Formats: sequence, C-alpha cells, structure tokens
Amino acid sequence: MKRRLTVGAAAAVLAAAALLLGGAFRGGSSAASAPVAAPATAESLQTGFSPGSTEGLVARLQAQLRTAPDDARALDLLGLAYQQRARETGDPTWYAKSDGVLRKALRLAPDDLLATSGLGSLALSRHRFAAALTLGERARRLSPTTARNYGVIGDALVELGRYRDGFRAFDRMATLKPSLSSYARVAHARELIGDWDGAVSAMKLAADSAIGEQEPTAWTRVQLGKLYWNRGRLAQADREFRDALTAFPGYVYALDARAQVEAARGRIRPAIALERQASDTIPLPQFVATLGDLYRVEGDERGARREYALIGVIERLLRANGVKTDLETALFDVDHRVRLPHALSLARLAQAERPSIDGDDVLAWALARNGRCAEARAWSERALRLGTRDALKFFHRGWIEACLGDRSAARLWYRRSLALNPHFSILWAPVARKGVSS
Amino acid sequence: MKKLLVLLGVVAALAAPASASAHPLGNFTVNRFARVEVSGHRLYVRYVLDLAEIPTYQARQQGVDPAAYARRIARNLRVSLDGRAVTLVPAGHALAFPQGAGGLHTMRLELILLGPTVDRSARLAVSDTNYPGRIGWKEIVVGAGTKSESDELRAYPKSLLQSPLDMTSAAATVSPTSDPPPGLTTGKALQAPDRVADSGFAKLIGRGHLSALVILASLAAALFWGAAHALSPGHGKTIVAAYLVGQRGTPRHAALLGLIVTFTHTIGVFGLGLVTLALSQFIVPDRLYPWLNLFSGLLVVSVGLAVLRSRAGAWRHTRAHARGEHHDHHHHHGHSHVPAEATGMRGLVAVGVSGGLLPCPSALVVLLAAISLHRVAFGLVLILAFSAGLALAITGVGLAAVLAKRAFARSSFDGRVIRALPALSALVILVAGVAMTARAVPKVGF
Amino acid sequence: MYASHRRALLVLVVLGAVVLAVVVSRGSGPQTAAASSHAEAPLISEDPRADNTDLYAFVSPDRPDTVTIVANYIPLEAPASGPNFPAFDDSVRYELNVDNNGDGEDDLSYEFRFKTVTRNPDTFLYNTGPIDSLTDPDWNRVQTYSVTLVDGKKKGKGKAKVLGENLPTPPDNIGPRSTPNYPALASAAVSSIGDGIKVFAGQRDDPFYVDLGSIFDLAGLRPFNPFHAIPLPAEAGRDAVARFNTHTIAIQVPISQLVKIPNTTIGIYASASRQKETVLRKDGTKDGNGPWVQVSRLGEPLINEAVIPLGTKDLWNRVDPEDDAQFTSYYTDPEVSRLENLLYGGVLAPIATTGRSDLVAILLTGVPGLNYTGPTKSDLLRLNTAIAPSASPSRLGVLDGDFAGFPNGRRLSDDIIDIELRAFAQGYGPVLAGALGLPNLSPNNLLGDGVDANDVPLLSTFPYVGTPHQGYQVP
Repeated sequence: MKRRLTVGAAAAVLAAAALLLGGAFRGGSSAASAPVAAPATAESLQTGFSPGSTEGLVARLQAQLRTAPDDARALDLLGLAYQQRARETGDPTWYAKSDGVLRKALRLAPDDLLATSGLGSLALSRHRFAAALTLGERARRLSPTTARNYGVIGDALVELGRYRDGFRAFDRMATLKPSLSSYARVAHARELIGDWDGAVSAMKLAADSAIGEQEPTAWTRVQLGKLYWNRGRLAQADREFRDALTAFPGYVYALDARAQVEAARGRIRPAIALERQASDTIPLPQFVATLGDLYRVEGDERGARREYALIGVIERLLRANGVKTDLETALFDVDHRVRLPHALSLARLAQAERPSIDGDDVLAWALARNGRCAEARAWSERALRLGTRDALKFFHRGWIEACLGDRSAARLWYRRSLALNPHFSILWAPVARKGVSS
Repeated sequence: MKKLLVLLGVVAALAAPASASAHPLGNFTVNRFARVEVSGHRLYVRYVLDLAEIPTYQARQQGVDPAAYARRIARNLRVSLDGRAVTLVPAGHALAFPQGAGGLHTMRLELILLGPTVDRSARLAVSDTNYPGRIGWKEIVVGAGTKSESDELRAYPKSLLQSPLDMTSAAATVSPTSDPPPGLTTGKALQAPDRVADSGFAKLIGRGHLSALVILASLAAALFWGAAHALSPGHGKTIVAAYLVGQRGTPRHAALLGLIVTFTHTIGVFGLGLVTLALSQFIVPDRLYPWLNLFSGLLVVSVGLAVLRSRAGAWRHTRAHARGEHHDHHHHHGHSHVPAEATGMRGLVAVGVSGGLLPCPSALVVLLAAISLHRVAFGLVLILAFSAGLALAITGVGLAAVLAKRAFARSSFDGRVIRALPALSALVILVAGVAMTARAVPKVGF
Repeated sequence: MYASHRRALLVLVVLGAVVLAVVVSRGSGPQTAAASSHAEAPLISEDPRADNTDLYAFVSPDRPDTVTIVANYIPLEAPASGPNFPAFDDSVRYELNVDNNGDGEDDLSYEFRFKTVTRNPDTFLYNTGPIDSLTDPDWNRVQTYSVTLVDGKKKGKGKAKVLGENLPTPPDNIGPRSTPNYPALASAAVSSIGDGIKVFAGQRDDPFYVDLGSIFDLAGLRPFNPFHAIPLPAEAGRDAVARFNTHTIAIQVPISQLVKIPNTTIGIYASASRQKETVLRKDGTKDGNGPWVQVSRLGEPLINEAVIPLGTKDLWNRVDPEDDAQFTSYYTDPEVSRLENLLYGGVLAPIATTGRSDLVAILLTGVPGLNYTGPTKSDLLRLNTAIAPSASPSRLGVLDGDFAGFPNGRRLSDDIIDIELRAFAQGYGPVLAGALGLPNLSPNNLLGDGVDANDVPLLSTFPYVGTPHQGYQVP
C-alpha cells in the first residue's frame, strides 16, 4: 500500500514537475496589457551617433530599457546601435543581440518601421540576402518615403545579381535623402559598371560626409583607397589607408589593406606584421588567407600551412554556426587546390546563394581549376557582363583562355589585368606576368 | 520486457551527446578574468583565461605550455600597492580543453599568482595588459567574495541589455583578511563549465558530410531536442495530463495522443513552412503565430466546455441514481458511480491537435534551411524525428499522469476525490484554454 | 501494483530525471553570425552635421532694429570629442530662409558654405600647439565659410549676392593648453559683413534644456511623477542636454532688409541640403555633382520629434514649408495630446485629441493678432518684428503674457517644452484664454518637465549663445 502510494506520488510529482516546467500558466513577457508606444524620440536622441559615442548610446538605451522594457522605439534604436557596434568591433555577438532586441520590438509592434528595416540590414550582414530583400520590401510598404529602406533593398538586389533593379533602388535612395549611405552605394554601383572616375568622386563625397565619425571615416577612406589600389595607384591608396588608421587605430580593414600595399612594395615582413595584427583581431578568411600567402612568399612554408589550416577551422565553425557556404572560403579552397571537386560544389552553392558577379567569377574559377574550361568561360563572361574593370576577374579569364588553348587571348587578358593593377594578387600576379611574357 | 527496451532506447537517445555548443561570445574571443584577493596577509590573484575555438586552435598549433602562459600573464598583469609595483609569481595552474563548436575545443586556463604580503590597509591598482586589442570579455574583481558577472568566465550573461564587460583596470583598498587562499577548479567543473548550449536542433541541418553515421546521430539528436523542447512552455502538457486524468485515460490513450501530436506537429511545420515560402513576400512568419495561438486556445476551450457539459450530465445522472430512480443502465457491480464515459475520440483528437498545432520555431528554421541547403529529404526526416521526440515527451507526461492516477485509484483514497477528479480536470482544461485564448487575443492585434 | 508496472514507472522516473536535468542545463543561446565582411556600406539613418537641432528668432534685445536668427546643428555634441573634433560639413549647404509675404515660399535665403583647410598636410592633428588667435599657425584644421544671399530663390529668379567670403570660425573649445582664453577667440570670430549684418558660425554651448531622460521614460515629467500611469516619487527635473555643445550659425540682420511692408511678421526656417548623386551621371561631366536636395529643416520646435511619425520623417525633411498642408492631420489629431490623456489621465482634465485648430494656428499659420501670416499652412517660426523685446523676459513666453516670446519667434531662454506640453494639453493660461478664447484647462496649464533654464548663461551680445563646454573639463 505504502509502496503504491510512494510510486504514485513519484509519478504525480514527476508529472507536476513537468507541468510546472511547462508552465501553461506562466505569464507572457509584458506586464502591461497593451504596449504603450513611447513618445516620438527627439531627433537628437535618435541620432546620438555623435563622434565616438556609440558605446555611450548603447549604455543609455540599455539603462532606459531596464526600467521600461517594452519601449519599442528604444529597442529599435538599441538594435541599430548594436549593429553599429558590430561594424566597429567586428564581434559577431552584437548581431545576435541586435536580432534579439529587434525581434522583441517587432513582437511589441508588428508594423514597426525601424525594427523591420533594422532586421533587413542585419540580414544583409549575415549574408541572408533573400530575407533581407523581403524585409526591405516590407519596410518600403510601411513607408515608401524613407530612404534607408531603399539601401536595404538595393544591397540585397545587387548581391542577388539583379543589378538594374538594385541601381534603381540606390537612385531612389539618393533622391529621397542624399547622405553618406547613398553616396557610398552609388560609388559602389559606378565601380561595378566600370565608371571609375565617378566611383571616386562619389566615394569622396561619402568620405566628406563621414568626417568626425570614427568608423564611417575609416570605412570610407578604406573604400576610397581600394578604388585607387584597384588602379595600381599605390601612393594614393596608401594615403587613404593611413588616414583610416589615424581616425580609427587598429581598424582591421585598413591594416589588411596596408599589408597588401607593403607586400606590393616588396616589404614582406612589415606586411606580415600588419596582416597578423588584422587577423588576430578578427580572423576573417580573407585575412588569414592573405597571411598564409605572405608566409609562402617569404619562404616560410610551415607558417603558410598553419594559416591555411586555420581556414578549415573557420569553415567548420561557420557551418556549426548555421552560416551557409561562404564565398571567401570557397575561393580559398579553389585557389589553394583544397579538394578541388568538393570546392567546385561549394562554389556552386556559394554562387546559387549569391548570384552576383563575384559569385559568377568564383564559380568560373572553380570550374576552370577543375578543368572544365568551356563551362568556366561562360561563367566568366557572366561575371564581366556589367563592364566591371576588375584585375582578378580579368586574370581568371586569361587563365581560362589559356586552358582553352587561345594563347593570344590569354596574353591579352593577363596584360589587361596587370595594366589595371600590377599587384592585384600575391598568388596570381606572378602567374599573370609569366603568362604575358611566355 | 519489450516496453523496458523501448524505454531504454529512449533514454539512450536522450543521453546522446547534445549538438555542438558554440562559445557564447564568438569563436575568436580571448576572454580574461582576474580576481585579486587577500588571504591572511598575502595577496593572491586568481586568473582565468578562456579562449574560444579559433585562438585555442592557434595556441595548440604552437603547443600550450601552461607554465609559460602563467609567466607571461603574470608579467603583463600590472598590480601596484600604494603606488609601488609588485611582482606576481605563478603558484599553480589548471588547464582543460572543453568541447566547443564544430568538433573543436576551447581552452580554459586557471592560474593562481602569488603576490606580496599585505600587513595593513593599502591602495591597490590593477591593470591587465594581456592580449591587448583582442576582442573578448575582460573582467577584474577585487575581493574573495565579490560576485563575478560571468561567474569567472563560466556563464556569460545572456541578457540582450548587457554589453560584454570591457574592464582592463580596477582600483580598491585591500587589507589583511581571514579568508582562505584561493584554489583551482578541478575535474568536471574545469572540463565542462556551464556552457550555454545554442539551439542545437537547428544546427543539425548544417552538418558537414552526411554519412550514414552522421545521419543516424543527427536523428537521435533530433529526437532528443524534440523531447527537450516539449518540456519548455507550451504544447499543452497540462491539458494532456488533465484530460487523461479526467477521462480515465489508459496508457494506450496516452500513446495515441502522442501519435496525434507527432502528426499534427509535423504537418504544422510543413504547412507553415510552405506558407512562409509561398507568401514570403508578404508575410513574416512571426505574424502567423498569434493566430495559431488563438486557434489553439479556442480549441482547448471547446474541449473543456464539452467535457464540462458531459460532467454536468453525469452529475445529474449520479444524483438521479442516488435518489434511486430507476433506469436501464447495465451496471457491473463494483464499478464506481462515475459513469463509464468512454474517452471521446473527438476529444482526444482535439487535445492532441491543440498540443501539436504550434510549430516550434526551430523546426521551421530547419525546414527552411533544409530547402535552401538543398537537403530537403534530410530536413524532413529530421523534423519527423523532432516531432517524434516531442510526442514521446508528451506521451511520457501523459503516461505519468495516467499511472499516478491509477496508483491513487488503487489506494484507499476514497471515491470522493476520484469522483471529483473528472470535473476538476474539465475545469483545468477550460481555465487553461481561456488563459491561452486571453493571452493570444491582444497579440493578434484586432 | 504489478512488478512490470513498477519497473516501467521506475524507468519513466529515471527518464524524466534525465530529461529534466538536460532541460535545466540547456539554454537557448542565439546563433552567432559570421563576422562582418568589408563590403557592407553603412546604413546609418542619421546625419549629425546636417541635422538641425534648434532654431531661434527674436528681435535683438541690444539692437532692436535688427532680428537675430540662430540655427543649431549637430545634436548631443560631446565636448571631449578629439581627435575627431566636430565641425560643419564642407559638403552641406546650410540655409536660413525667410518668408516675408505669407505664401510659405522662401523670399530670402542666407546660404552658408564651409571649407576646411589642413595647413600642414603631413599631420592630421587638429592643432600642433596653443591656438592664441584665429590666424595662429598652430591651428592645423581651419574651417572658413562664405555667406550668400539668394533673393527669391523659389520664384526661379534666384539672384545671388555673396555677402562675405573666407569668414573665420573659432576652433572648438578643447582645453586650457590648446585653446586658452576661448571667449576671446570666439568673439574674434564674429564678423560684420556690411549693411549692418553680423554673422557667426562655430561651436557654442547647446542652449536647449529638457529632461530627456524622464520624457523618454514613457513621457515622465519628474515633478508630476506621482500622477503618471506608472507613479513614482516626485523629483526635480534634470537637464539631459546640459554639458553638451552644438554648432551654431547665427546672423543678425536689420529688420528693414527682412520684412516686406506692410507685413511686420516674417516666417523663418532653417535647413540643410546635400547634393544628389545617382548611379548614372547624365551630363557626363567628370566632377559633376548633382542638384541640391534638402535633407533636414526646422521651423517650429519639436515638430519633427513629436508631431511627424517616423515613417514620414524623411519625406517631411525634404518638403518645403509651402507644401506643409499635407501634414495638417498630424496637427489636428496630435499624438502628443493622446499620450497626455493616456499617461496622466488620472489627474489632467481630458484633452481634445481631434479638431485641434488651435495647434494649426500656433504652428502652421500664426495666431491672429500676434503673428498671423495668412491661410497658407507652413511650418515656420513666425516673428512679429513690430513687437519690441521684453525688458524682463518670461520663459513661458506668450502663455505668461510676454508677447515677445514663443510662439512669437523663439528666444534662447524660452521654455518651449513646458509651453508646448501645455499647449498640446489645452492649458493655455489665463492671458491667452482671455485674449483669444483659447481653453485653459486646469491643472493642464501647470505641466512642465521641471527644467526651466539652461546650464550655461547666455551672452549679452551677438551671438548670445553661451561659451561651449571645454573638452578638458567635460570628459
């Protein structure tokens, strides 16, 4: 009898525990019955990105939300501020925080404009371009006159290979509200269609509008520098990269860019030191790959292999984190002959997910390295269809032509790529040079 | 015996290793913690270094010599008492490589550093110059009892309203204490600090090579995640238990309920997934959830009402019986005067459907990821396993309820409690349904 | 109970315990995303150096034959901002616009363009030594400006006259070593550019004062804390904008040059424009920068913040005041009044939230008998230049019977927060109730944020806005 009772009691306790854990009667998140919309934020607080104060803004908003957790507008601003922190530090956990906070805002106010467009820009950062487009479109329907929405839409369209639509979105953004954001996008678009002078002039405007703000200044200067770099103008490029580092010491993209300048000047050890610093701060695949290539150039095979092994580690982590194939890691595998057939399928996946001219070019290159040069040629033509003047894409095309047996065409493409930028790639510029003279 | 084997199999599945738990702060962080304390008359520093997957990999490439680490860290930790710099001497270390994401490891190094004597109150200044420029959690506390926000790098706060700590210096006054000297963590606690496990189920779809072994392991893991998910809020466990208790449910009914939940949940995920894809231009999935919640709630309310109605009828019947009215029921002697109301199939189905109606967001994520990764078959099978795990857990709860009730029934707890149970259960169902509906209505935003 | 049942139950308990343990230890952490890649251009919605924060217009107290217009840009400018010291944006066109015939269109526009020169290109430091004068070579990043008067821009005539070029700005107030004797530097940067016009552009203390912290805590007003829907103990208000600077453009113009006889009331708004750049350049010129697009404007205070909803802000910023009729519904059915009812419903007299023609009058057409400019609805700061400056200004302006104050123009000391809170709450005070029959609900006419004055004193002469906080003193 007693045993039955104890057994029965145990079962009952178990059931009760499970139910308590389940907590059908556990209340929802917000205590208030209907979320009280916060009064419209003052322009001053809504901006708040006064020089170097993103951290201050974050702290202020966090404190505000601790006392009033259901303030949708504050959640929006915090979500955007977190994204800015991610840009400034490179630390991806800010994206997760931004996601959590913006989603909460959306639950409180499903038609919230800033939360929707904020999630859109977040999706872009995570390379989820289709989702970004959906969110951007949704934001646009909520407010067709807000410029930011067209930035989200345009970026997504460009990465999805829909260039004409993307450029139209950028133009709409520029018409509604010219700003750093629109100038930078127009510059990028102009570069894509081969209007280098126009790209530089737009990016200069962007750099001018960024003065006084640390990360935007560093970002625009690096972009401007890269435009110069792509035309082989080392001195001008280096000046911009140094300016970026003055505004933002330790800015990894500037360190990486400077490293390539040093390598182009033949100063490998300083290049390695700079690239090492960049990669230690944020181990992006392109930094690690460049570092490995630099070690190889210097003759340190061991060091090169160490860095190349790290790329594999990064790939595993990306997958474990739910990020689909990265274009950069696919490119690395193809460049360094890492399981070429597998690399080809990675490249296919990467291109399918990101059907931009970069995706097309990586796929062309992967096909070529796997010996399928006729197919590669078609993809290379696609990659160059906008009229972009890109030395690496030209080089890939040259290699493909050589593979197909057309030596003179190959030489022509190699020459074109070197004419643009004689130092376009640590690995491949020497190959192009040899190809021209052979 | 067979039942036992089945149960054992379930336990095994549950014990299967959880999917990878990523470093909660990002895979390339270098996280540092220092606790400066005085024990007796001696200054100690307890230092913890927590390297995420990538720095760990790089460190191991070079070979990890804990003594060398200890010396370097001691050198770069600038401590001064009353303005005079002090030397710290490594006095002990503990090193472990806990599991991280993607089959990689993280690194946890604990150090005890010995400082100078502290005979009277002194002004302490600490500055940690280790790993400058590396992103990560940086925390310094003074005092043996001072609470660490990250529990000494074991549990980073998950709050969305908190930024990672960035303390590289601290100042305080210290004096001799009667505290014991600090120690090092050993064994399991060192090897497996309370890591935050990420949404493991959603990660399964992204596994590298899909060999047979990986698929089987993933299915087992999916089963586990489904069961684990069932025990979080929702999925009508209360309602299931109340229903079975009240309706004289048998273990078979519990199992049937489980099956219905599996079916409903799987269909629900697919349905929602297809709707999401088809209408992805216009609808964000989040917007459908409030409607599903509402529908679930209404369904449960209707079940509760139906049961209550039949209870009322039964009560009238019992009263009539008690008054000795004659009627043509065929009674078996010995059964209680609760009428042998068969558990209505419709009621059972309704309860089962309401339990599985709300697709779990992670299952939806898996479906959508499966489609975009071109692994649709694998995704479908994973979701089925997940739903099965979900159902198993709910069945388990239902079974427990049924068996508990039977145990009580066989005890000498008298009939009054037993007689009241069905009515009580109806009430519980009704209240639960009303609560669900009430919570869902404002979210739908009429 | 049968043995098999018992065994089953035991396993079930074990099972349950295992699952429980697992569930308890499992969290639900978010997925970490990949680190940001280089290509993403910023998507910042803000543009601080083109962001109009406040506009003031008043008859100059020490020169009552002139009007002073003050326009501030760059919100929440922290004093210690090195090495990125705030300055005006060389690529922005800053405009102070005057409508003097009541049609809402610009009749006069004073356009300000800035140019920064780095004296020593080999260093990017702001200064390489103490800056003792505006021409000190130690001052490395020097910004100058030009003022152009555009006459009748909107009508397409657009005659432009350069009033001054290469005018000096003062450096930012950095610290005792870099900018000793700052007030002298600042006053040296006040320029007289002929025709009785004085002009100034540079860093100043932000004269705005408001308890932002409380207001954004669900419209809290500290003195009224106990009466809020979520009550708290009453407190004194705290000025959230204290210890912040701003960048000021100020101009002092003889009234005769601004008004169009017989109207004495002028409508003023400030704006900032940027050039439009689209992907394809139609004219094919190398450095062709496109047409100017207005990216921000300001007439009456707090319209953009409290009246225009978020999704309409970009549009509102781009539109000219003459087209403001499209926004009338936001004034007649004001959100602020709805919030006041909702959050202070217990203590305030019920406020009308529709048909608010009083707000349309004050903010869009001017108040008849005070500063009315005509039926055209446009967001302008309306100053009746015929009303002399007050000898003892009241921070509550017209609500207190001081007709030289807001909403007749706006002085630096006017408490527009309290005034607008009361206006939206239909608590216009006895003076306006008597003179214009406006409602004077009680205790609505006592609303306020508890912050009644700026932290830094104003100057007694042009540009009147106080000395900026020093970066060295305010970290």
